[in-house]
Amino acid sequence: MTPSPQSIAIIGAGVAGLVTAKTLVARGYDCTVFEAGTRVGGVWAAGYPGFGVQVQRELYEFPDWPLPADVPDFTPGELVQRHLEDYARHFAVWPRIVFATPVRELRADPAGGWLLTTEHDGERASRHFDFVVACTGLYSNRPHRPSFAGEAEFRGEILHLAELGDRERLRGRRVAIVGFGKSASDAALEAAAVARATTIVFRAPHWPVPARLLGILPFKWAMLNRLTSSLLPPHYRPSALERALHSIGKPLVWLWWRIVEGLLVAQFGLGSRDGTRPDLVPKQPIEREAFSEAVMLPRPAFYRALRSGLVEPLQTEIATLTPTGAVFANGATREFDTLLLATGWETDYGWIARDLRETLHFDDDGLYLYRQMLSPDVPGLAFVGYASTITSTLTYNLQARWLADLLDDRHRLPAAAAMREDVDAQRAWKRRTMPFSRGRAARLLLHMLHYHDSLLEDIGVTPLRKRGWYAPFKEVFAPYEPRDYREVAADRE
Amino acid sequence: MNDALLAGAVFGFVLGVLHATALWRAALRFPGATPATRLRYVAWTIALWTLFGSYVLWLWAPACVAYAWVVWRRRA
Repeated sequence: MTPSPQSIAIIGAGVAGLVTAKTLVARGYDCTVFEAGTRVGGVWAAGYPGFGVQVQRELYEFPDWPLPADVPDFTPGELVQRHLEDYARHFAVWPRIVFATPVRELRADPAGGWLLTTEHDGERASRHFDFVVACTGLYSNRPHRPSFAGEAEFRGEILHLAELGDRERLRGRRVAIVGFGKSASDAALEAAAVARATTIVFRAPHWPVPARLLGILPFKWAMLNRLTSSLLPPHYRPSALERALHSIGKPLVWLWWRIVEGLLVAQFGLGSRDGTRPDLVPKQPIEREAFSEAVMLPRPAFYRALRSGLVEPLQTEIATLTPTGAVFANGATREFDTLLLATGWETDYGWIARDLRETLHFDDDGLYLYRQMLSPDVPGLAFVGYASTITSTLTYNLQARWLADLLDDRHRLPAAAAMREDVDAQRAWKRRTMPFSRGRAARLLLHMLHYHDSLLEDIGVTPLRKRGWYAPFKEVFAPYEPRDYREVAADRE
Repeated sequence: MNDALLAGAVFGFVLGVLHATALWRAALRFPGATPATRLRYVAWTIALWTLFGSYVLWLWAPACVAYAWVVWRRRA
């Protein structure tokens, strides 16, 4: 590690880049933020029609910069974008950002530190930095486009959601959507509003998480407290209580999740007992799928649209495209004019020099890092934002604070061997308990409380954030939200 | 019924004491955890476990049967 570096490069001006810059600038570091696009916000600056936050407003705000009072729940993407721009200006990050300047290469400087090659207006330039923070997130802005047999013969249009722009482009068309995540469900509703026919094609349904369980209990009360966290497949550093719960108490934990599944099946009408409706009950147990990126909080209208037939669900995959549509693996055929791919984005760390990528050791399922931030073998390079949680604005704030404290020498890293051991344990745990995806290494989701706790313990701050006489009760049953960490994010604790 | 509730409460109390002990020891690591804070956590933990002990015990028993049945069916 490089205590008190003179110059720091931050790559990316999305949420992670902004909070990292804000935290480090406040500590007096000389930071330069390189942003490939012309706006701050990252994914929020390049949203698709109808996109927005999947959770209640209080779960997606900065701990020390709450959303304005008039912002609605499930905040629309445009309002998040405006909020991020205000944040960058308020915390004096804006002047540090160099826009329209993608990073082309990061390699070690033989003299120490890093050489960062950027491109602006077609001209390349290299600069030395003592420390680099990669804040490019889990995925790049390059769409993931699966290829299909017969693609060349298809006479319609194949679009990735990122290229859609305006839903009016789908007016009067027959649309087939590929995918079953949050973006696919959003796309289906947008298409259904203007298209002649809408079909959603997916391999397997996923458990939907409602905004309110049974229409009563807000999702955060059911999922984001310490009680639920302890009922998940155990963390790789479980507490004594968790060890007991998942051994002698295992039947109780099992029963709990079956009850939750039953409630979701009833609430969303997922079952098809009489065969008149599509069977949308997922096959994976919910406690395992809770770590799939496909678990989503759909807009309530999505399942209504599936049940009513406004959007036709087709559980299969495309066998081959034909000139006017597709033949599916289950033998069904459909005709459509537009094939809309809601298939996510590619990971892209091609800007990291090849030898450095090899040292970092990228696996098929991502990059395993100590505390989701550091490679034991590459000092001087950190990743902030390479962590998938429900409250990412909070997670990135805590990561930035942890990193700032490390650079200020307020806490120390363990020896490299101990860090490697921790990374190995984390890798084995994720591969044992979480389904494969290209971003599995970054995935924490409902285990984020464990992660937040470990960051706070490292920097010497109590992870028990609830206050008042009822604090112990709230610790167990009340949801954890960004506001619980306000003092930590603001550097007052 | 009363005996079942009492047994559950005793069961919960025992678990509560164990949990509270673990919490007390964990809280020693955290900065800012005063003895008063730690005592409050201990008291709440024991109280909650005692209160909910019956539910835990009497849900755990049928859960064991259901879980064993599901595991047996899966293996069969």
